[in-house]
Amino acid sequence: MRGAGLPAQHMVKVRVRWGRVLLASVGLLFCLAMSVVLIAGAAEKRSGDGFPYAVAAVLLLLCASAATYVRWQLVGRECIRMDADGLSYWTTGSPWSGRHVIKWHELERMEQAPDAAPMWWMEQWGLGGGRIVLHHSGRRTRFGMDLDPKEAAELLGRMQEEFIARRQATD
Amino acid sequence: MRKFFAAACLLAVQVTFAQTNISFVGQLSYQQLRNSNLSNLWGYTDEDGNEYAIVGVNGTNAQNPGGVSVVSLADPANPQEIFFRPGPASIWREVKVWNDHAYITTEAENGGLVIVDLSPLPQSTALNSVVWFDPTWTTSHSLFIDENGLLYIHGSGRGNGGVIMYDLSDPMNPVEVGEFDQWYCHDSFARGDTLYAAHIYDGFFSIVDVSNPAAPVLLGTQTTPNLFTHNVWLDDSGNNLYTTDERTNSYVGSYNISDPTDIQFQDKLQSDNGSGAIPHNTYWLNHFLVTSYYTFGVTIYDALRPHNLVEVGHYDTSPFTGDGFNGAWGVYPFFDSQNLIISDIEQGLIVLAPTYVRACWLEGNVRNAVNGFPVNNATVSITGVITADPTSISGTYATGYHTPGTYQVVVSAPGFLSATVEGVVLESGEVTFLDIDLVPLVAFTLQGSVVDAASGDPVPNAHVRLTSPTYDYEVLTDAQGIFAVPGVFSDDYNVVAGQWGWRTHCPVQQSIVIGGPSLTIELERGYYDDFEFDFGWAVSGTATVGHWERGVPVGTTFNGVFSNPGADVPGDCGAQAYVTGNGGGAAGNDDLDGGNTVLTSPLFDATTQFDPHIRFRRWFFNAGGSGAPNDRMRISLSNGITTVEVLNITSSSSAWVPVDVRILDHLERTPNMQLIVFITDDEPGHLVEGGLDLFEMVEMSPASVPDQQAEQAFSLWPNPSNGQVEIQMVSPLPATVEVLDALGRMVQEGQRLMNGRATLLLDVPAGTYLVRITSDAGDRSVQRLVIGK
Repeated sequence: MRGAGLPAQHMVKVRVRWGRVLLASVGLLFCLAMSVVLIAGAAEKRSGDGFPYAVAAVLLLLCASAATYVRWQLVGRECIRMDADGLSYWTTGSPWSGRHVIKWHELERMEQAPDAAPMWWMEQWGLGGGRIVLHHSGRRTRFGMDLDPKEAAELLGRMQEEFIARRQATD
Repeated sequence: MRKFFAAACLLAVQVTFAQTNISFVGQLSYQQLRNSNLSNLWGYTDEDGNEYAIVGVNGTNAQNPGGVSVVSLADPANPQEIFFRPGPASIWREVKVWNDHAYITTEAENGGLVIVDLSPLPQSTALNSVVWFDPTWTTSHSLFIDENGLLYIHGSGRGNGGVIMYDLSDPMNPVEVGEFDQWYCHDSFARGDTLYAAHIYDGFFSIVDVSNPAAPVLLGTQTTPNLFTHNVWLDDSGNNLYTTDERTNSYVGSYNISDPTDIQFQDKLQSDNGSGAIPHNTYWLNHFLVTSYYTFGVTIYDALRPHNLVEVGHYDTSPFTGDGFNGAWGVYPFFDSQNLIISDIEQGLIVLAPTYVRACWLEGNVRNAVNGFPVNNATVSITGVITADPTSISGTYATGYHTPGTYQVVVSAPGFLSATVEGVVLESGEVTFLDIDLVPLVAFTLQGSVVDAASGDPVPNAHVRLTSPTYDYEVLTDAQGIFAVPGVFSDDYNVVAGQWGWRTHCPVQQSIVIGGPSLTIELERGYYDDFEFDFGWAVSGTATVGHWERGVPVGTTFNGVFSNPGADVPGDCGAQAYVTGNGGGAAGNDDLDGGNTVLTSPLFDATTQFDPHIRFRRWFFNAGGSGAPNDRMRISLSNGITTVEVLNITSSSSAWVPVDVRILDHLERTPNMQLIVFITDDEPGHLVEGGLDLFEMVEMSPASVPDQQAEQAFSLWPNPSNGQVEIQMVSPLPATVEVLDALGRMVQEGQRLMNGRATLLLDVPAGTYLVRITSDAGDRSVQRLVIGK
């Protein structure tokens, strides 16, 4: 058990789905090439038609989405931290961190539940999913979308120990 | 006579509905009175103490207009409508009463605010009423009126649809005094100079200082359990606020709001757990919460201990169950008579008599018996009572029951030995404190192997799952067929194992304890998949939603029948199947839409059998939408060279239908066979749901017929025979008998059995034949028959 007062942080690495990474990478390159061709072609012809630019813009958006997904798959992590303020969780390697904080007095209980996996393309946005369910203020928040049951049980045990240590320190 | 019959039906319906501490008094059917459903209601008491219900009537058209109905409850067993003000049809009408005036909001176009002067009652039922319009809005959703006569209008068409405040000093001519329009407001409560507003679309309530209505000051906000804050109500102390979220399986919430800047969640409670029922409006009365609960009727919770809500009363007003906006819309609990009046959307106005009883509370701590640490997420249940409460992260729990008595309390938590405490006495209005220590279990690694039943060879990459009510483990075997499950706790487990190419070993419950023997699981060769494991079926297609997915089917219903199946095929190893979209909810939420979805099996080798048949159960439901349903399910077989369609299903049925496909009728056998199930939602869109379960490949060649199994279904004699054979089924069912030769060719077709009996007269050469009986339900049984001449 860690000493109370020191922040404890746990990180869960995203399990890489190489097939999806490959697919997204190919899609990224294709969209990038197509958008370059479209923009270059339209610029060369000096056409006033905005359609090629609009298509290129859509393709570039798809590029950005594919790039963020590849990054999420390769370096993405879910992080959870316990300190004096409470329990905070966020993601790294994703388009935004989605940081949330649950104050200690708001935390009711924690449990492991069957993973409610989000659609794969939603993972990087940190939407839903995860085997660890945090009950707080009457609500539920999930964490640990790539944990297997054994890892989830171990992490729950560690979080419980941290909680007890902090409570004993403040009693 | 018709009235008598209707009354008898109503009485019969009421008698059958569930009830606890609430009894039926009377009913007024608006289906009979005005051919209409109802929305909300409120109560009014005149100066003589006579009670009235002010009821929002939906209406349907000009012949059956919506409006406001005033009902006398002088004889509560026989409510009588005494006044009706017609208005436009709308499913939304909300009512509140201030002194001698009723105020009614509606979302009907140009509905305005209806004001009914109730002061002539009881001397006269000629009531004056007007439709009052604020020039800045024409419709609104709901209203509240505080003790100072300040009217709060919610969800109007102005701005964000927040709260608009009016002074009712002149009851027929409200005067606007202020506005709080930061967020849309669905409902509110106000007392003194503070407003408590439910922001349904934002998922929280706000507390606002309205001492100067012209300049409201936000004091604090708090999210509610299901992020769809529908209504709020304050207790007399002003320290506790109660909420409802209008969501499936949501909760009545309890919050300590004594410090609006630091609102504390205290408890939440759900009735009819897991049914999907939706709480609608909750009201606090003398430390009880009375809640209209849509399909579950009306509930009463004891809120004397706001951190431990306990259900102490219930009356199911509605024949509907589960989710859906049917049943009890509103309840008014504030009459001196204590009668409850309920506006049940379909059943009409219902008068009930509650008996308010105090709860029997059970509270305490659950600790680790070795180190005294709190045990998080332990389940504390009172045996025989449908209530269970998990412990908090601090190890505390708070639960209870409505009926006093002596009970058994069972506490269980993952990683601990369950504890049972006998003779726990629960008394009405008393808190029983019970601390329980749980003994931690020692985790160990369970080892075992999966082998071929015939040869004893290892089965690599086989799936092995151990499940108990508390634990669930799944591992794969290695190349030597060995598996190891770390972190196992002693318990009684269902052990199931499977691999593509072997028949899944169905769950056998066995006690697994530390130091016990390793497991050896034998699998028989054969292709079988009940989808308990993921053996690699592939999903593709163009649909926008509703692709094939493996899981425990979540039933959806359409016109009273299952659209998505409510369960897998009974009798197989698990509860899973492949279905198209499994998100539950309304039938159209997650059915197949906008294209097709294709499910393709892993390769299977049909050359291992002489006359292989593919058997499975399929589901195809197609209904609703515009025009006649035009969608289809196509089932194909591929041998790696050729793909042929073996079934094209267009007729909808809400059932698992057995299918038997003889491969040789369609294709040459190869080692690279695949089953392909294609289902599509063509334009125009309809409800489309497909399912697949209990796939297997079976040998139907006479050379491999398992006689012993067949004998259980029917008898045939004499055998050997000279051609005349008597057949008797064990359970006579409508069925057909066929005879095949050793090459699987039909030598006698389709003779019907009469009362489970038939006599076959076979003019065939001597040899071995196969007698096959197929019931009309699709079940088949076979036996070998020897003909000697």
